[in-house]
Amino acid sequence: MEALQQLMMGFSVAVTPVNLLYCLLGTIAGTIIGALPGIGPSAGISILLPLTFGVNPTSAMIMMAGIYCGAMYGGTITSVLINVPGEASSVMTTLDGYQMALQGRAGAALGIAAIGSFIAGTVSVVLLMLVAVPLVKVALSFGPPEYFALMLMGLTTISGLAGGSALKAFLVTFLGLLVSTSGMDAFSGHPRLTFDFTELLDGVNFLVVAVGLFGIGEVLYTAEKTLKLEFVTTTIKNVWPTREDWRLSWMPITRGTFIGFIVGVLPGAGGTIASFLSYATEKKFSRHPERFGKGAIEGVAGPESANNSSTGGAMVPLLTLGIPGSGTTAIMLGALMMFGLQPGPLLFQKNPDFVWGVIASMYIGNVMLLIMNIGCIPLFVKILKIPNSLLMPLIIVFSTVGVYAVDNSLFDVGLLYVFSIVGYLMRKFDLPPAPLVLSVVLGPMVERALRQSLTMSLGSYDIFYTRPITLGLLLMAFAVILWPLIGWIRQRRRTGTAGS
Amino acid sequence: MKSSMRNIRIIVLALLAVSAVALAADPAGAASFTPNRPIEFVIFASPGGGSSIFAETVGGIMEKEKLVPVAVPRVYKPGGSQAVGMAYLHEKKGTPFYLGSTSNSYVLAGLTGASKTISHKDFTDIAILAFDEMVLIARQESPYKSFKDLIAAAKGKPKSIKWGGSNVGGSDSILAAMIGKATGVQFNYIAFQGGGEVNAALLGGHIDIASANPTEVMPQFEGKTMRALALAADERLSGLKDVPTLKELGINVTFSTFRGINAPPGISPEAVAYYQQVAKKVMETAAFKKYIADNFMTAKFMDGAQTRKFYDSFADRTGDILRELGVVKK
Repeated sequence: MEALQQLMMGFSVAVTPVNLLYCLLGTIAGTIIGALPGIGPSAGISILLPLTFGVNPTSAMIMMAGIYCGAMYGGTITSVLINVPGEASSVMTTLDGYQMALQGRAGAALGIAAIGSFIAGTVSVVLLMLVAVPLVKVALSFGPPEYFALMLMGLTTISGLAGGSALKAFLVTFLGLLVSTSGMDAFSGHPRLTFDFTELLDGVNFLVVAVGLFGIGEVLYTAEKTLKLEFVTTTIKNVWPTREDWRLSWMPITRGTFIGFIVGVLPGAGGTIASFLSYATEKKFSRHPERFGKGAIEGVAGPESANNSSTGGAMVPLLTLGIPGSGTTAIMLGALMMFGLQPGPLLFQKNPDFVWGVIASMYIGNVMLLIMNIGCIPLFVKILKIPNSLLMPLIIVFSTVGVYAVDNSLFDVGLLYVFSIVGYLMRKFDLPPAPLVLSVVLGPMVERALRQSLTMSLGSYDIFYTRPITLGLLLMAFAVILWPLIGWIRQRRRTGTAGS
Repeated sequence: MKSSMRNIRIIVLALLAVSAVALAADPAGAASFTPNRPIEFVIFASPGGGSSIFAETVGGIMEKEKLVPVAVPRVYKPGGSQAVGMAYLHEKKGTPFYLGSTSNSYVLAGLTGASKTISHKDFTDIAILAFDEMVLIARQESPYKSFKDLIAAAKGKPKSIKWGGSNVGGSDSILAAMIGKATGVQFNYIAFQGGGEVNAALLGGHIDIASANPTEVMPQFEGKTMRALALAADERLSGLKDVPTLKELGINVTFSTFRGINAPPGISPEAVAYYQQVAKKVMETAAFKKYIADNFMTAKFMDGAQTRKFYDSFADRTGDILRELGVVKK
């Protein structure tokens, strides 16, 4: 009841014309940022941060929260329409979303993504209000060994994500891990696989890899094909999700919401991991896993809900402890410090109007985004009517600008083109690009968590089975690996007995 | 009518010319340089950190208080432990319209091999404006109520105390090594990515001790989730009166993060003098004093020559530690 009162006060802060304007500006800017390849929410907030100087911290934070949520919606648009993930957490959406677009169902994909995002975004704000304090205690009990187990579980599910040959998926995963080892080794301070490029000291930015492999790689491949073939234009049928789409999607949306929130709360995990754990979960739960990667609407509904839900989750450690749970909230924290506001454990008591104003504005922002995104679907799908000969160069231009804007780095642009060619070749040899991108994301996290754990335990492996959460997660990881094997053995035995 | 308009124009032009000459011939005779195009203030890090707060504050003051007649756009060039931004600024050789924001990593980059060819010696030093202190922290529930408890518990048990911080070769690891050397204790240093992760690990009880700039953890002290054990500063801080310095505890270690301004190599002495004057004026503003107070920092002006001397001795001091840590080859 008290929370409700507080929330009412929050709404009274959030619905002032100024704050509504900042919320609207934030959600619009966020949608554009999310849609631009390369620039994700964290880079977007950095770039727009100077605009908020001179504004009071509450309005600035409302705008930043709007950008954060908006980027999660916006990332979907380009993933579905042109196979370019607008930001990292919509990589999974390209797998089935783009396939749906090719089948003329772009509208359904965008519709279910917007509605799933709205439900997930709203539920996660409710959860943020109700369980923030107890949940953050659980999140803190996650130390390096627990993260290692979680990330390892993530890595084991990668091979299943791609569909097709598991061998190829593993091959690509290892290639991604190799790429991810480049950069300064945090534990010794030595550069590793940087080939004397200072730009590589921070490692390869996975956004560059994602935009190269998916976006431009796909453009090159399509360009080659369309030169030979006649012009293909997709017909756009049923713009809205059908009753059947709903039936298939409501469970993935529900599961995605909870996966996203929980992963979002964990400091250091975030929307990307949430979205692909959700995808892996849906594929495991599905009675027809073979549909995934060929335009299954569940493959869009789950991850899109999860990445939006993670925004509410990531706000939990920020608002309750003053500790950022993701790259984006880390920048928000820095920004708040610039405004002279220092989030910490007392923020709820000391600045209730700030906290509840921001929470209330997240509700409003989600409604704005739903209206905006649903309303714009007929407009967005028109992009597909642009002839390929115009659209393809545009994709290259936007990808280049987006990647450059992240760190103002021409080196990244060069790297983008290298990965574009890699992406083109992989497409030609039918190697799945998703495992590469995800292992570039997960690789450094797994390595860091493993080495932190072993430093903590002074080299002893006991640390991985003496901590209950770690043990549980590791057992789940093994189950994921062993499950297909068990199925295979059973099948063999059955055919064996049938044969004799 | 027409001719009178022309006359007015001529008078205005003449007045402008005279005032331009007057401006150029500064009565003090010190600064004959005035920037006539925007000054790009380069930050060698991402937005949100200490360097960016410093540069946004200082650059903002220069603009708002009209200490310079042009705009001061802040440009972020993060990456490579500052090496990427340093390389960018170095390319602007001889152009007096660029400034950089320096901190410990700026000198460390030249030592650790992050920046292979460029070091702090390859730039023009403008000034150091302030020092950001470092405080040692433990979580509230920690059995170590004071720094003495911690050292007493750690003595004779090498690597029993887990110290979390940023990458090895960064400021946190250097402070840990200095204290370890001074007390004869061997800490088990664990590298994390950024202060947020370190603080989460500390609150979760996965590490025993960490170091931070006071401003980052002040709310944690107020919220009674963390406690301050000791300060690596010369003197106690007014905002943390109860926290002893390491020196008071008999450990002769001081370490802090400097906040300074540098410029590309080869700019004229007039430009250097001009920017030093601007830096001094920035420090006199109320906005700067508020920034120092809000962030529990120490304001201290060092001119170009003093700054270079400070950098050199900082490099000597930390170079030895880095060699011991194995980051720099002997």
